[in-house]
Amino acid sequence: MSQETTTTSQKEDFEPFIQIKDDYNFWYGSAQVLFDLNLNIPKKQVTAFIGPSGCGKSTLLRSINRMNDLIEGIVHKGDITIGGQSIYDPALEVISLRKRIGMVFQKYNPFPKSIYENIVFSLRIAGRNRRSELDEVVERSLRGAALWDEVKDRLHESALSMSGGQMQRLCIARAIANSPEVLLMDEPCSALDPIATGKVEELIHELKKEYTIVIVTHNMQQAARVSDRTAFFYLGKLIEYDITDTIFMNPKNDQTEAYVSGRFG
Amino acid sequence: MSPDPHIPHIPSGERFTVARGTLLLDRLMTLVIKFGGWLVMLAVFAIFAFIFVQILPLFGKPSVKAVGQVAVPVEDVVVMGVDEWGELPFFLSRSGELHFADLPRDLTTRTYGRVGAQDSMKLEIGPRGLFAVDTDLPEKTWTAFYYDAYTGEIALGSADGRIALLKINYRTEFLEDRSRRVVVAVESELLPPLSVSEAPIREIAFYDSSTNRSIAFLQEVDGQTKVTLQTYTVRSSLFGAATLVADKQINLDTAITDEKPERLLIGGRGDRILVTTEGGWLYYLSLRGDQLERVQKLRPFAEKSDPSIFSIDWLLGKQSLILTSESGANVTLASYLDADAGQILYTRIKDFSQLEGGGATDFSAAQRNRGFLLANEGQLSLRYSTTGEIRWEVTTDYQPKNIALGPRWDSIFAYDTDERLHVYALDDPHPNAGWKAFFGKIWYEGKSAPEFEWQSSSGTSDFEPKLSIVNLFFGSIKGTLYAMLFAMPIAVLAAIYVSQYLRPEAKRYIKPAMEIMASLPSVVLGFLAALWLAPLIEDRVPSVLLMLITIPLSAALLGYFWGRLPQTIRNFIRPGSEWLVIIPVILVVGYIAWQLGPTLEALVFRVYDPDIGAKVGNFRQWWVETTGGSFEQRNSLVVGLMMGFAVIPIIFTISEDALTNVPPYLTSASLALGASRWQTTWRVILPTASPGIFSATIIGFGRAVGETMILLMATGNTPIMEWNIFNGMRTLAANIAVELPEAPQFSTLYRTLFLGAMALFLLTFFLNTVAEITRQHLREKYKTI
Ligand SMILES: Nc1ncnc2c1ncn2[C@@H]1O[C@H](COP(=O)(O)OP(=O)(O)OP(=O)(O)O)[C@@H](O)[C@H]1O
Ligand SMILES: [Mg+2]
Repeated sequence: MSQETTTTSQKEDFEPFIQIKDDYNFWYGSAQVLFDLNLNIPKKQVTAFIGPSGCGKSTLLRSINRMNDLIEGIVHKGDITIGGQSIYDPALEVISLRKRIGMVFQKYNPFPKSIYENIVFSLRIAGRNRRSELDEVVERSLRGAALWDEVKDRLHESALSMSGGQMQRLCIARAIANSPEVLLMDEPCSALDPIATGKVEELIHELKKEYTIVIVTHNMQQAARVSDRTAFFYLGKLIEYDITDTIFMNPKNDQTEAYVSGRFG
Repeated sequence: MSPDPHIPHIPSGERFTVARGTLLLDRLMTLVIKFGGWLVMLAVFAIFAFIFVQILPLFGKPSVKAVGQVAVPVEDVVVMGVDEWGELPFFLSRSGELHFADLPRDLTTRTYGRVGAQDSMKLEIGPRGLFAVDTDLPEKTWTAFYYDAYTGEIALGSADGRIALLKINYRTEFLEDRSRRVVVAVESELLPPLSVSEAPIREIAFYDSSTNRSIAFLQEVDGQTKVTLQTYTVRSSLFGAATLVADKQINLDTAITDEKPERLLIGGRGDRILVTTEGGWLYYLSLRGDQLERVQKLRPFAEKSDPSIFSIDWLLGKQSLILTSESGANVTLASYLDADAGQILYTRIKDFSQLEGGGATDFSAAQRNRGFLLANEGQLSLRYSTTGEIRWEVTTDYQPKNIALGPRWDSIFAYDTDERLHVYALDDPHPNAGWKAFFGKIWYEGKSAPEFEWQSSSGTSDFEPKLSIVNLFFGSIKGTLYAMLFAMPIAVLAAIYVSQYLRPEAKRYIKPAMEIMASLPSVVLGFLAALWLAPLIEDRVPSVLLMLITIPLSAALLGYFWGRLPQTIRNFIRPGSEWLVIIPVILVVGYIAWQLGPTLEALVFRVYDPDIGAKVGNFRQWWVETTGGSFEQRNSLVVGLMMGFAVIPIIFTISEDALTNVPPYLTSASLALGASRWQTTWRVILPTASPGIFSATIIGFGRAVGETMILLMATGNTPIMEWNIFNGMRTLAANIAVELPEAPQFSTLYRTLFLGAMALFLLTFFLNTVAEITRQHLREKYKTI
């Protein structure tokens, strides 16, 4: 059934890093929200998930780093692998999985601590407290998140004193501080103004040199601007998955075409 | 613009008006709420004001008003005394004649004093006039006098070495018109001649106990001062008349007093004499067998420029001596049991300010408290020994010669050199109160050092009340701290576990269980503590200690090893159900610890048992021997456990709410960064919830401070000041409950209880203020977006 509804380009000319396979299904209690997904996400590229509200984009994203585990009564079928290793391997510690995967949330969520402490959080919990190392990581991450010049003089002030756009970039800096392999971003710009959005988009361009990025967005232009590949979901099913340009210029599926051209959603 | 079909056709002016009823109701409710708020504030303030008004008199100065003066022409008065009501003072003249002056009724009562009599008011002698009473004593020249106002007894020594006793028995008669009349009966006895010199007796002292009497006196024989102590036993005949039979006569060995004796007093049970000498020394001699032994020699005014002792007198209870020096220095000496010497010694416990104008020419001890009145050539001074305070002092325009304090501490009589009697009304309901009495260290009589002490009453009427609030305050803090020590970790850790780890289904049962725990009446807990827990752990302290150590330790170890187990094994237990493993372990460990207690006791807490002749395990005795502290069945451990139990629910509930209210996006952020649940809790949740947890702690603290029943029942309520966990305490709250039945309205104790209430009020007020400020500060620091 999945083969009939999902439209993908015939040959995948990339090395998959994250594989959602074996007809991945997902239920919240008795409500199924993901249906028979099979999808390969390329390494060091940006993959965008688009689709109307409630179609399960966030659910899929949170499945990748098993953040859904916090919710009672979830059930899944199928498998997800990262770099060939199953995330559901009973011997795998969820904590170490999450260390490999950075996540940026829709609503920025800095800790009520200083800017500096926010960034080094992932190092501190790993017991890495050497001052010189921390300083270095803070500078590298903030530069990586294009925030260094704005905050370098107030590193020890509360993170909550920043603007919304700055806080979101701080959360990106925090997510990359421990140099993860994957960066999951769930509508990272939905709470930002156009200028801040622009900055984050530039940032994504930079970051894909080092990280495999998955981004959920409702903004078609944004998906078109930042992503290399785009997956379109509808009602928990993957409708079409292809190179971004193809999805936007030349979609093979009618629903996809209707959605990207703004006729529904 | 066409009108919207969905909106009914009402003119727009009406559509947007608000119904008058709505506005009225809104205004009314605003008013009612405002009024209610103010009413609450007012009520709190009114309580505060009421308590304040109740305690204010404790810190007041006495009011003394001159009632008037009257001529009482009696020649050469040597002793003056007054009856209970101050209506029939007596005047004993040197010749042995006894006169009574009839004074108007209610002359000196408080109401009269309050009405405000004028100094100029003329006192009139009443209808009975100034009358003499025959003492039945032979005509003699009396040379030495000793008056004990408490018993009404006067001992007289004559110029020819004879001794007589005089007793003035005042009695109050109530007449048919329900008015009162004071009548007097005088007993007298001329003691048989003693086998001493017929030289004049210069000083005399007398001691009266129910079974024996002692008389000590000084005589000048051949230029030498001789001291004699004569004891008598009391033979009472069938008809109740008692005769004194001479028992022993001890002549003081001059080697005991290497100086010239000047004055003397008898104390103890008639077996101690205190002799002052010209050089300012006080000799304390004790009767041992047929011998007077010198126990102590001290110089009360040693550091003064004139160390001589000008006057020495007993205070009520005959434990304290009031001394003045020639220049007017004034001290209290009191007896205490000296631990090193193993016997009673005297020491200086109070140093009063100087009596201007020289030493006391006359003295009168209060008959219901530790007050006394001193007089010299131009001064009257009312002082209080316990607090070392001067209650009232006045410079007189006459020369007081004889003084007497009204037995009801309500009047002052001063008889001057011009044979005039001056009467003052004294209104001083709380002489033993004051800052010093409540908050200071006081050197009470019978004690070896200044102390904080609370003991408001005792079996005897001449007892010195000790009213240190500090002890009660200490007790409150001690009980609370031990309870918090137990409750805080349990409650906060439980809150963390329940909010962060436990599965939500289980949570649904925990919260109501906690509410039931919170609603247990504290009297039930106190009852359980006193009758079940205290006896249970009395002999099982090592077991309890072992449990307190092993249970948390085993839980922590289990957690550690659990974390080390491979994920595959851990998958058997769902996250949030780990308690399924922990609870059996805790139960087993607790049981083993309880059973191992006696073994631990036998191994570690060993003491020598003289009955067996070997060392045996006995924690109780071990504790007493090792720490020197006491061990009581109802102790702070019991209080800590039981009151801890009482405050756990409140701390738990508030902490749990605070922890649960930490925004979930912070938890997600932390977990997504690869933090473990504990790291998330410790580094993100706890700091963010800290204001709430802090409030919970303070509220729990406040609850424990105000707790009464548990403390009342689970401790011995002894107001000691020791941190020793194996003895009790008395808290401010329990004290009010304990003492209330003993406190007559408006008495010092009654008001002191209000002072305790005020201290409690202020303590909680202070705690809440500090808590609120700190909470605000923390909230500012850890506020979330
Ligand atoms: N915790 C949850 N428990 C139960 N159902 C959930 C839960 N979270 C999401 N869902 C349901 O799963 C479906 C998919 O939700 P999801 O958040 O993945 O959608 P989404 O595509 O991210 O939508 P949006 O674009 O609005 O963020 C929705 O129908 C939603 O109601
Ligand atoms: Mg979403």
